[in-house]
Amino acid sequence: MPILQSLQSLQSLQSLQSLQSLQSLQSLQSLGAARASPAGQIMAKDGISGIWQDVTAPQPRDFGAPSNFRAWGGQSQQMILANEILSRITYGADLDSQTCTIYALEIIDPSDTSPSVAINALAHFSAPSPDDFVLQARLVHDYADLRIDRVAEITDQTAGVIGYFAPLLPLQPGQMPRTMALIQLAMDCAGHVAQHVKHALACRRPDAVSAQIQPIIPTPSHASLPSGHATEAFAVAETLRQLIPESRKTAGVDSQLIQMAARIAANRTVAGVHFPVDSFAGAMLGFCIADVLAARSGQATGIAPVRFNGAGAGNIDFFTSQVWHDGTRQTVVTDDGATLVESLPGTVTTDMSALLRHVWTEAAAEWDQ
Amino acid sequence: MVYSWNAPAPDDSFHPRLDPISAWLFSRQSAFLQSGEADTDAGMLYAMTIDAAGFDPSDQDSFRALSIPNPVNRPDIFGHPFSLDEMEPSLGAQFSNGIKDVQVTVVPLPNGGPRSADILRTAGDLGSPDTTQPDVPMSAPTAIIGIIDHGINIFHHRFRRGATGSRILSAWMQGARRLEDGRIRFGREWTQAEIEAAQDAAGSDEDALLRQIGVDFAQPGYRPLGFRSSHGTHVLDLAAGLDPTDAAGSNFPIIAVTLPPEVTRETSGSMLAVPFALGLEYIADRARRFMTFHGITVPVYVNFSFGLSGGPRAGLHRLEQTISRVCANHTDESGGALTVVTAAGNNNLARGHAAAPPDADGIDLRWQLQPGDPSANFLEIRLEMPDASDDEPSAFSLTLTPPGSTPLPGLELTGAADRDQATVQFLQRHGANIGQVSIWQNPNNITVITLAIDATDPGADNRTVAPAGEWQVSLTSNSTTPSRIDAWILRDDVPGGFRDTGRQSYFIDPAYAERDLRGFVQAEDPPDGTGQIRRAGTLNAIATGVSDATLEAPDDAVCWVVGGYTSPVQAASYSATALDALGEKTNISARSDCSPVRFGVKAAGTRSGTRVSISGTSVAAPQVVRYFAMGDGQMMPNAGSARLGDHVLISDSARLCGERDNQN
Repeated sequence: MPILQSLQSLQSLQSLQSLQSLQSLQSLQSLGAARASPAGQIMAKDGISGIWQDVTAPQPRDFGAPSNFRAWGGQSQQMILANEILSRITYGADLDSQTCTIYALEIIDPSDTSPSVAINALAHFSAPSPDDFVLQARLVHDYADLRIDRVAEITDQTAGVIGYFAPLLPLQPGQMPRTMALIQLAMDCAGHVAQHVKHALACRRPDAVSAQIQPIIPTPSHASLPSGHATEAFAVAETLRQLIPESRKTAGVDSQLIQMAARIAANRTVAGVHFPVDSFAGAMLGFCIADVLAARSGQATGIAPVRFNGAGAGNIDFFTSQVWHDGTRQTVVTDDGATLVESLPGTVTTDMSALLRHVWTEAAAEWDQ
Repeated sequence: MVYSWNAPAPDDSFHPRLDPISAWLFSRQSAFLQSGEADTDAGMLYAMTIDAAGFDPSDQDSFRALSIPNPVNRPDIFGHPFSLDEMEPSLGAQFSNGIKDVQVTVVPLPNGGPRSADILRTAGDLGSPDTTQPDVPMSAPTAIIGIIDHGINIFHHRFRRGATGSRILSAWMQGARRLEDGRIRFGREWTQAEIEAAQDAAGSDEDALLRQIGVDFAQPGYRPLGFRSSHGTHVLDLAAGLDPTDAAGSNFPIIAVTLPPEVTRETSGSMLAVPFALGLEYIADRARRFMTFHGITVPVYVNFSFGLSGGPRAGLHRLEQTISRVCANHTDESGGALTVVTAAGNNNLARGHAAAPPDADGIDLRWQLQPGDPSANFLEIRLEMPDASDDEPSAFSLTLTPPGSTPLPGLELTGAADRDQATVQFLQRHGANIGQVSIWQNPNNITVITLAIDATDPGADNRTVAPAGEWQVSLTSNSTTPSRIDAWILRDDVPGGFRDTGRQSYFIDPAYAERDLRGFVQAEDPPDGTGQIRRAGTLNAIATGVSDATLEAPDDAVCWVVGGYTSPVQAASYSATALDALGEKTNISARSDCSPVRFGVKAAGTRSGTRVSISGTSVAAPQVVRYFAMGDGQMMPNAGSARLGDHVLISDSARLCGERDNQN
């Protein structure tokens, strides 16, 4: 009985989770062994430190040197890195056309005492019509057929998506800290930018369209389009795709990365919290974030501007080859000829971050270990 | 225009005798064909009509000259349609009592199997005779038990005599690599002597034995015996398993056939026919050799726990007719009976059968295709025409409405005058074929219209697929009002052990209630007959013409249909319902679940010493084989739901459901 089997796999999942919590307990204990308690340290200092002795100045660190980065703790690193990206992104919302635009900033002569700023449109978003969402809601309802198959993934992915990419690669989180920092960065920035666009477009979730959707996880309180999971998953997949040296790639890994991103996006529709059209917007935005990250890291000179126009989306269904196949991002046109996702002419530039270039170079080198 | 209908160009059509589902699968290179490293080599096809005489209906290898390249307009595929026009006179002469409507079925060859040029066999001979005999001959048996299944551990202790003896007279692994000097033209045969020698050599190392029958990870393909639970091992234990020290074992020898995994894997089930027919022939042939050797005649009971959906029904499926002919032939040659026991099927609640109200001149269907489906979906509409129209081509109008689309222009479908050509139209989306409609008029006043709709999710492949969602199908007769209209959705899921999955499409009908107002599953059609979806008619399509079986003379019946029940003798909700109007019948029900919350019954797991639970009518059928062959259990007249059939088999519940009996 298929239902029974998947129920059993759920149970085994739960036992796995409890195993994991056991392991984390053990690692806490070992951490406890490595760390001195304040009370213990008071006694130990008293016991051996003695009277004040002459001291010498430590080796100074170089001002502004990217290599200082490795001395910083993980959370501080992520804050610094996030600002390296988010400081180059701003938003506009045009009331007349109901379009939210993401702009890329380029600081000209950042080391000068009076730098200037150039602003260029990077991505435009306009929402599907209420009628489109009505048609999309039927798809969300139909996708509920897949819930028994996908429930384990859906539950995992409420907590994050990176765990689903690592198995596609020889990616050892402990041994590859810079790679982990970059994909965490892609995810953080994707989340920030997606939230902003969601806020501007303010699209309602499937549960606001029909009482029959009945999502299997709580519907988030923020707006529906673009899908944050799609944005994050595509940003992570595309960043990995660009980061890993070609000589270190296994056959077909690019396709696997993008297919995993698409599956993570679709899982949110199966769960009942996103329309398929949300995934198109998220995929486009995720690619875009990855491009900004690469450009700021000195890996690309220009970024292709893009447009998502949801009007006329109708009942278009989302799957991998709609947005990416044969190594190429796709223009998405509905059956009725409405252009949903397109690349715009020209290129957008931004200035390079010495810090990000440093981190990127170290991350790429991790794949040569 | 997003969608359009297109008749195939002359050089784009498949061979007129190819059945429409095979044609669609081969022309689209279905996932199962690409499986198991199906390169150009494995894409080579092997085609034959199903007939009573064995592998090869041709005289003196005449078919060998008739290999047709490119049957589905693919240069890398060629086939062997044995019913080309020039073959028909000889076919007609050989099979004057045979199938009325010869159709070609194409099966892919397993890896390492024969190529068309290798196929060479004279009629009536299933490989050269087995001259080796086991060291300790079996005593004269009282019945022979046959099984056609997938994933059978032929070395399991439950099929042994003593430590290293075997009760298996011979086994044909159809999907195995052929030996250089193999007696059979594809797959591998294990004789009793070979099985016993292997068991003797392996001692207690069961891994060494399983490696020889498919659990070899150095070889490509699927390994059902790599799992803790395997369908065939479980089913055969229920039908024939005994403790190896039980002296009675010698009375019940076994002949086993495992189907090629490629065939089991094809989600529509449409590839089962030929391997099954060959498997049944094989069991009959080997049983006759054994009986001749011992100078005895005993009944042969064959379990087949597989099912099909769709088909012409009313006993007209080619496979049903084949079963009848093989059984009759066996009786002619040996004087003994050959009886097939099959499962009723588990699709009672699958919403896969719809029927039009009486006197309707058409049917309107709402057909839901699931998203994320990597395999094609098939719908068959079966129209029974009144006798008066016998010589008239039947004519219909079909209107298709894809999800979110306006209705497409109506399609006029006319049955071909020569009665066995499938007229075909392709459905195109943006110029790419995503569907196929065919009409096939059968001489029994039955017309079958088959719709194939492509996958809904191509993954990363750059090809146009069909949209998921609700497809509306509206069919009206332009000639006589049909006397009966039914629609069936073909199976689109995969047995356990296979990596990929289809997703079962289903009918939508607002009047259908899966549960009653108290929340209980409604396993029977409501008596008022509202709505289109019918649980009645979900019976296994290879068991639709067998209502004449009686317990007084069980061996007289060709085929028995077995449903499943749970305690306390309540028809399992999934156990299929027969369609009385077409003369279908469930004969017997046996236990398929231990209780409403303890699914399945226990029998052998893959490895000796293990027991696992498997649910479904698959595990009910072999209990009836065991009853017929060994007299195990007690047959009671059914006093409950009509779905249970005429009788209910009460088997040993401690063996099927006991917690403590784990030593076997």
